[in-house]
Amino acid sequence: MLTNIFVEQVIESGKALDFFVFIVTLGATIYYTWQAIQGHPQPLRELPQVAAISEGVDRAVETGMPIYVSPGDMAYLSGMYAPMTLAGMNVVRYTSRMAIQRGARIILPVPCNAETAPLLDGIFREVAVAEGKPEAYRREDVIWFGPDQGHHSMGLTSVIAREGCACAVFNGACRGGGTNSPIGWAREYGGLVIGGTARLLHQGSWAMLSDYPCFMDDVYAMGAECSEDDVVKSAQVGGDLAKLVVLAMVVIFAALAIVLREPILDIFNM
Amino acid sequence: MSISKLLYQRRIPTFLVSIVAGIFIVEYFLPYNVPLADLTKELTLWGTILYSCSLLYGITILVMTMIRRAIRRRSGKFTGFRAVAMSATCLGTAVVFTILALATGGTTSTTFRFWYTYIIAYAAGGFYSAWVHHPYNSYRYFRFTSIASSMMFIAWLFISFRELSFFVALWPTFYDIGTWIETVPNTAAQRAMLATTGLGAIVIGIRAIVGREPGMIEVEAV
Repeated sequence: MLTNIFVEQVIESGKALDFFVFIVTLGATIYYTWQAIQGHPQPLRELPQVAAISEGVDRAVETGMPIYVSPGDMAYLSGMYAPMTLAGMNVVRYTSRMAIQRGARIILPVPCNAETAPLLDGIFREVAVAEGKPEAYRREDVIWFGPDQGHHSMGLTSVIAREGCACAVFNGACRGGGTNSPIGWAREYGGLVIGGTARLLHQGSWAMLSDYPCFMDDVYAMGAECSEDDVVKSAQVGGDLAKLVVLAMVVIFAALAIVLREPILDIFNM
Repeated sequence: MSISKLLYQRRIPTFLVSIVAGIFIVEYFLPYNVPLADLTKELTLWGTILYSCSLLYGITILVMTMIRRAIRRRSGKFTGFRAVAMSATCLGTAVVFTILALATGGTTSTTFRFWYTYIIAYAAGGFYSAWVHHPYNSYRYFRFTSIASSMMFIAWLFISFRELSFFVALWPTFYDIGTWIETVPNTAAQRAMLATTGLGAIVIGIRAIVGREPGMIEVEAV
């Protein structure tokens, strides 16, 4: 009875479970963030994908070929792709900084919708200035190919064919139509491919195409590690607590569903 | 008194994003509320307006890059006439189609659609053929390099057998094996992946709302 009143008057019907998961995640994230701010950060294990970026940058310095860095051709700043975009931006900053420090050339392919163009351009310029090498910033290396995934696919492939590829770091919202062909060609040209996407349908592509693949929420972990910020890393670890709660819920609900059948299913309809 | 770049380029935008995100979260969970629904509708409209500005920015940097390349007569490794021709093709097409749209009553007019379909759309058909590279990659990089890649190959093989009637006719159980792989282990793995990714996305969203996500806006050269 009490639950029904809560659901009908405070939470919209059908969203009670979403609300519960949101509150648990919110609580865990705030707790671990607060702990890190107080000087008790949570360790995040070293990801081989992030360590490989250094190898890719060194390779670019040795070969004189560029590194391609992108948050994915579908990097929107709204909706379900926004978190992937934000994680990807941390990777772009990390890679750009390392490349500029060591004197490697970077090329930033802009996603199809150009929303992130000012951000990518700003990151490139600011990192170059912050590292004391403003001449490393080249406006023409922030390239927008057009609003469709075909533009991105063909445009980026042609740039890779012209300029060569030492390394490609694509971490974020990547599409099959916009990114798979250029990444495949990056490999064909001998480039080291690092990255992946949190988009479910493309996990197989990245398993095949990437030397250091990121699967699903690896993308977020890579972003957190590249931020080099203990607070960000700790918040990411906090997400694990929420995952354990969800896992426990799956087990409990599965057990209850076997025993009770109908009534437990009603919880999902609240 | 000078205003810090950090203030107007990071703190104020992050604060505004936090407010807007908070409104959307409340609107999502609360039972239908007319004023709140109208507010989120208005905010969505402004989001579209801002998106249009970024699209204009993208077109501007594309045009500027092409002009710069034509003036310098250099496009990557290409120099001289080839560099100029590449830039001129892009710029010329943009100019011609802009004039065509203005002269014929917009991008939905019959004349514009005719020229667009028979030049651009057909050319686009050509560049989409590059997607043939997808299956090429699949076959080239499918290798038994680990337990995970071997499992992936076996799953792909049995799903392929299910889709090819020749194999199903030879041994009908191929159909059941493929369907079982798709509906049981594949579905279970997909649910687990979606759950973890969804929670990871919420964590990043919360970090962005409380202003602790450097990926959103970070300023180094203050």
